[in-house]
Amino acid sequence: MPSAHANASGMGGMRAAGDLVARLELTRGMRLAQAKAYVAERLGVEPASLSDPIAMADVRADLGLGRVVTFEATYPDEPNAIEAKFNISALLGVPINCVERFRKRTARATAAGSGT
Amino acid sequence: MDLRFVGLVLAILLVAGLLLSPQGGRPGEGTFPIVGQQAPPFSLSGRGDFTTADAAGEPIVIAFWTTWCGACKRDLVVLEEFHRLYGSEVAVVGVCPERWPEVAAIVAERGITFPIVYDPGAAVTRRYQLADNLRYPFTAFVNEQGEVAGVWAVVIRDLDHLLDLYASSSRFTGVDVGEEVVLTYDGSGSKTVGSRMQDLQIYEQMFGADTVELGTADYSFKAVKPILGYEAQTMRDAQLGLTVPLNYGAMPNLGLYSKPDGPAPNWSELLPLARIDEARAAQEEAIEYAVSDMVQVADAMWEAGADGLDFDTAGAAGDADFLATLKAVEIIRERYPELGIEVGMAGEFVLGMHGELTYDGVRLAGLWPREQMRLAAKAGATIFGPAVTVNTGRSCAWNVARALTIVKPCSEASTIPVHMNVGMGVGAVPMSNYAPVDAVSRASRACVDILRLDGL
Repeated sequence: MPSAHANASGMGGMRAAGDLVARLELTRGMRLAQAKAYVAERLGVEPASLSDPIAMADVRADLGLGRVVTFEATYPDEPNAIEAKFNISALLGVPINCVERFRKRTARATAAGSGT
Repeated sequence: MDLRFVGLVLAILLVAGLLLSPQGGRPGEGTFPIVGQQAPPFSLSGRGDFTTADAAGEPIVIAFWTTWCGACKRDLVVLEEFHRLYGSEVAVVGVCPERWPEVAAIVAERGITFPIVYDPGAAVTRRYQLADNLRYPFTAFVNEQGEVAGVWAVVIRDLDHLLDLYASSSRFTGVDVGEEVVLTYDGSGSKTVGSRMQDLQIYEQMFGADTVELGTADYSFKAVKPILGYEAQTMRDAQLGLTVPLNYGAMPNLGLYSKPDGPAPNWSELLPLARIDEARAAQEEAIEYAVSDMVQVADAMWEAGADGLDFDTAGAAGDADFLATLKAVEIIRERYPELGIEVGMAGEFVLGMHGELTYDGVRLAGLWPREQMRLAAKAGATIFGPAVTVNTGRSCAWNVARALTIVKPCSEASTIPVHMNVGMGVGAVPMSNYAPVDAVSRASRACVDILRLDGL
C-alpha cells in the first residue's frame, strides 16, 4: 500500500522535496499550497518542480540537503541525514529539534575546538 | 446525458438556484465568511477588463484560479461552455493572482473567451476568501443585488472526474504532475522488514515517504510508558541517520486505562447495567491517567529529538478518548511550541460513550470531521487526520463517495493541513492487508483531486 500511495499522489520525500514541504506543514501548520510556495522560493525553483526527482537531485546536491543513496549512486562527500538537516534548518528558516539537540550535546566539543 | 457535461449541468443548476432563488443553506456558508455579504467591488484587467460596477444588477460568477492548479484549468473549460450558453444573462470572469505570463497559453489552448483578469498580490482574492492560506479553485456567485449568494470551493467537474476515475479500466492512476501532496506514514519503524532503523530507511529512501514514524508494535501510549527509555533512545539514534521528518506515534486508547488493564472501573461493563453516572465517572478518571501518560511520552520524545507526535485513532473509545487527546495536545503545545502535532481520528463520528464531555464549550459526542478539526487546531495540533471507515459490504465507488462527502467540509474550512487517513479499511481503501493497487490509487487520487487535501 505505501508504494501505491507514493506513486499515485506522493511528493517523493527526499527523492524530491517532499520532506521539506512536510516540515513546513508539520512545524508551522502551513497548508500545502503555502508550504510549497515557501519551499520553492527558498530553493529558487517553481512549485511544480518540488516533486520532480531529476530537478531536485541537483538542487539537493548543490544545497547539501541530502540525497537518496543507492548501490549505484553514492555521495560520501555530501551532507546527509543529521548533517543535511543542519542545512535544511538553515535554508528553510525553521528549527529542527534533533539539530538543536545535536548542537546542545556537542557544545562542549565545539567550544573547546577540534581537539588537535 | 453525456456524462462529460454533468459538471456543466451541475454548475448551471447551482447558478440558477443561487442567483435566481436564494435559499437557506447556501454553499460555503460557515466556511467562507463572505457568503451573505455584499461582494467586494473590484476593477481588474488582463485578458479583457472586468469591473463589478459595470455588471451591477446582473448575476456574476467569479472563478478564482491559479496556473499551477490542474483542477482549476479543467474548470475553465466548463465555465467557457457556461459563458457561451448564458453569457448574455450571467457575467463570468476568471481571476488569477499569480504567474500571469503563463495565463495566455493556458487560455488560448482552451479557447476561453470570458475575461481573465490579473489580481497582483491576490488582493481581491483575499477579500473573497478571507483566509491567509488561499485554496484554489473557489468560485463566488454574486446575485443581482450584489450579494455573495454562495461560494463553491469544489472543482466544478468533480462528479465528472470521479465517474471517469472509477469507470476507467486502468490498473493504476495518479494525480497530475504538480498536484502531489505530502504523505505521512504510521507504524513505519515497527520492524516489518529487518531492524526498526532499516524499516524507517526503507520508507524514507524506497517509498519516498515525506515523513516517517517510529512506533512500537503495541501501539498505545500506555504501553509505551514502561519502555519509554528504550523508545526515546531509538528515536534519538534514528534521528542521526534520517533526513526526512521522524515523528513518534501511538494511540490514546483510553480503554486500556479501565479494568482489568488499568485502574479505572470498566465503563463498558457499567453502561449495559445502566450505571451511567458510574460509567461517566470512570471515563473521567481514565482521562487523567491517559493525559499524564501522553504528556510524559511527549516530554521524552522532545528530548530525544522527535520532529513531531502522532496521536493516532483519537476518539477510538469515544468522546472521553478524544477529550484526553485534546487535553494532552494542549499541554504539549504549550510546553513545546515547535513540536509538530498530528491528531488522527479513529472514525468519522465521535461516539458519545460519556455523552456530556465538552472542550472549549463544544460537546464532543456526535462531532464530524469539520468540528473535530476545529477543536484539534484549537488545542494546538498542526496537522489533522480525518478518518472515514469503510463499509465492507459496499463497493469502492460507494465508499469513496461517502468519504469525500464527509471530509469535504473539513478540508474547506481547515486552518491547518488536513491529512486524511487513506489506509486499510479507511478512506475508501478496501479492508485488506493486500489492498489492490487499482483501488488504492483511485482512492488516493480521488481524495487529493476532489478534497484538495494537504496530505494523506
